[in-house]
Amino acid sequence: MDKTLKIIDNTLGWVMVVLMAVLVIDVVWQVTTRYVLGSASSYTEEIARFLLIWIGLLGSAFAYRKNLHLAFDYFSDKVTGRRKKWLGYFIHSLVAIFSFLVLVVGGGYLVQLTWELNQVSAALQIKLAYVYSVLPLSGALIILYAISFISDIARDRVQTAVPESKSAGAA
Amino acid sequence: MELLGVLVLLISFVFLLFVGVPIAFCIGIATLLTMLVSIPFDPAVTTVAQRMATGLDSFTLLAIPFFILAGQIMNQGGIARRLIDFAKSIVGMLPGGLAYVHVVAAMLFGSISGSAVATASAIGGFMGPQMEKEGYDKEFSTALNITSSTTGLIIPPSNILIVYSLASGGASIAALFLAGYIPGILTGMLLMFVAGYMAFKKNYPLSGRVSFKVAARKFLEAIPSLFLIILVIGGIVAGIFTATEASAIAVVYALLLTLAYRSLTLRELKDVLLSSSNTTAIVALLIATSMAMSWVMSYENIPIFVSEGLIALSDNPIVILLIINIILLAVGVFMDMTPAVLIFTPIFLPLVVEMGMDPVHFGIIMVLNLSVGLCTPPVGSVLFVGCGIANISITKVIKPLIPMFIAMVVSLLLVTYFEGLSLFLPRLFGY
Repeated sequence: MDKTLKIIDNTLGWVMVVLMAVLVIDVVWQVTTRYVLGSASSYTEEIARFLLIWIGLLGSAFAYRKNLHLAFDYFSDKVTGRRKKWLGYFIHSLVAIFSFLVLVVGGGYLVQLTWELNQVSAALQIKLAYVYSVLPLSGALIILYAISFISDIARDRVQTAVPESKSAGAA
Repeated sequence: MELLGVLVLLISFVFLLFVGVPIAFCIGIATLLTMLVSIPFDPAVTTVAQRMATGLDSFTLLAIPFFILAGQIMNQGGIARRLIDFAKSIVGMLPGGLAYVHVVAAMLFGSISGSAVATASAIGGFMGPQMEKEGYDKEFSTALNITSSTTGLIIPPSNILIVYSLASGGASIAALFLAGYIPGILTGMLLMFVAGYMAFKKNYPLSGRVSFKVAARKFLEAIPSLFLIILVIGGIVAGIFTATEASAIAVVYALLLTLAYRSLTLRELKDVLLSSSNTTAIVALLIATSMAMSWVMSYENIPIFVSEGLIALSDNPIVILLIINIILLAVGVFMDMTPAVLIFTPIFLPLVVEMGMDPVHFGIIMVLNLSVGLCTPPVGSVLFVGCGIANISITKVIKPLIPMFIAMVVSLLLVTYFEGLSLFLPRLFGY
C-alpha cells in the first residue's frame, strides 16, 4: 500500500512538473507566433486554458497530499489526544465525501454529458469530455489520499491529525 | 431570496471553517449544501463540478501561474539581497534607516514576486537578523516585516488584481495595475512614517552612510531585477502585450537572468516548477470553489438582498462605503484574499457602480482592505509566516502591529475617499 502510494506521489509530482513546463512553452510559443510570425496560433490559447484546469485540479490533489491547502487551525490546534484523532477523521472524511459527490459523481456526469452530446472545443476540436475527465480523476486521487490520511491517523503515523494554517495562495 | 439557502450557506461555511476543514473545501461543501437545498441531487453536483471547471477556464487567469513561477525563479537568484542593498543605498542613511530599508525592499520584492508570503519570508529572513544586530527589537522588526510585505500585493504586477479583474467581469488589468502604484506606495510611506516615529522614540541607531560609489554599484546590480517590472508593466500599459503574455515573458526573462547569474541548476528548476504548480493549484482550487459559491449566491439573489439592505441603512455614498469597508475588514479576518475577492466583488460592485464609482477604484479599495486581514489572527497567512521566520509568538507582535494597522487603515480610508489616488495614473495613460 505504502509503496503504491509512493509511486503515485512521484508520478503525480512529475506530471505536475511536465504540465507546468508545457504550459510555459505553450504560452511563450503563442507570444512568439504573435510577434514574430504576425498571427497568434489559436490552438495555443485553448491548450493553455485546458492545461490550467488540469494543473489546478490535479495539483489540488497533490497539494492536499502535501497538506498545503490553507486551513483555519485556531481551534483544531487546541484539541488534543483522542479528540484530535476524531477531528482528523472527520475533516478528511468530509474532504473525501465532497470529492466523491462533486468531482467523481458530478464531474462524471459532466464527462458523460459532454461525451454523449459530442461537444468539442472551438479551436482544437477535441472532445470536452477529455478536458473534464480531470474532475473525476483528481476526485479519485483526493479520496485515495484522504483514506491514507485516515489510516495514518489511526496508526499514529502523522505529526498533526488536522490541516494547518500555513499557506502560500495568491497572497 | 431563499432564506433557508442563505442560512445553510453561512452556517455550514462558518462551522466547517472553525472545525479546521481546508478553506477551499469549506467553500465547496457549503456551496454544495446550499444547492442541495433548492436543486435536486444530480443537477446540483453537476453544476458545482461544472462551475469549478469553467471557473478556471480563463486565459486571463493564466497570468497567475506565470507570475508565481517568475517570482519563484527570481527568488533562487539572490534577488532579495540585491534589492535590500539597493534600498540601503537610497534610504539607509536616515535615522532608523534599516526600518525604511526594510519597507522599501519589501515594496520592490513584493512587486516582483507578487506574493506577500514570499516577501515576508525572503525580506524578513534577511532583514530580521540584521535589524536585531543593530539593536532593533525583534517584535518591532517582525511587525514591520508583516505589514510592509502586503504592499507588494497592490504594487503591480499583482495576481490578486488579476483575480479581481475576473470577478468584476472585465475591469481592465492595465488600468488596475496603474491604479495600484500610488495606493501601494502611500501605504508603504505611511508605514515608514510610523516606523520612523517608533524608531525615533526608541532611539534606534543610525546605520552607516553609504558612499556614492557603493550606492551607484548597488543600483547597477539591482537594475536587472528591477527591469522585470519595467518590462511587464511597460508592455501591458503600452498595449504591446496582454497580462498573460507579459507574465510568460516575465518567466523567460527570469530564466535568462538566473542563467546569466548561474544560480539555478536543472534539479532546482524541477523543484521550482513543482512548487509553483503547488501554489498555483492552491489558488486554483480556491478560485474554482469560490466561483461555484459566487454562482450559487447570485442564484439565491444574495447580491440584490445585500445591496437593498445597505441602501435601506443609508443613501449616503460615504456611509455606504464605510460600511462596505467595515464588512470587508471583518471578512478579511476570517477569509483568505482570493475567495474574498471572488465572492464579495459580485455582491458589492453593482451597488458601488450604481453610486458612480469606477470598478478600478473599487478593486484597489478591496485589495487594500483585505491586505489588513492577512496580518491579523486567526487566518492571516502573512502574520504566520512573518512570526515563523522570526521565531516569535504571535501575541508578542500584536502590540507593535497596532500602530501599523492604523497606518494601513488610514491609507485605506484615504484611497476610498480620494479617488484620484487610484484613478490619477490610469487616467493619465488614457484608460
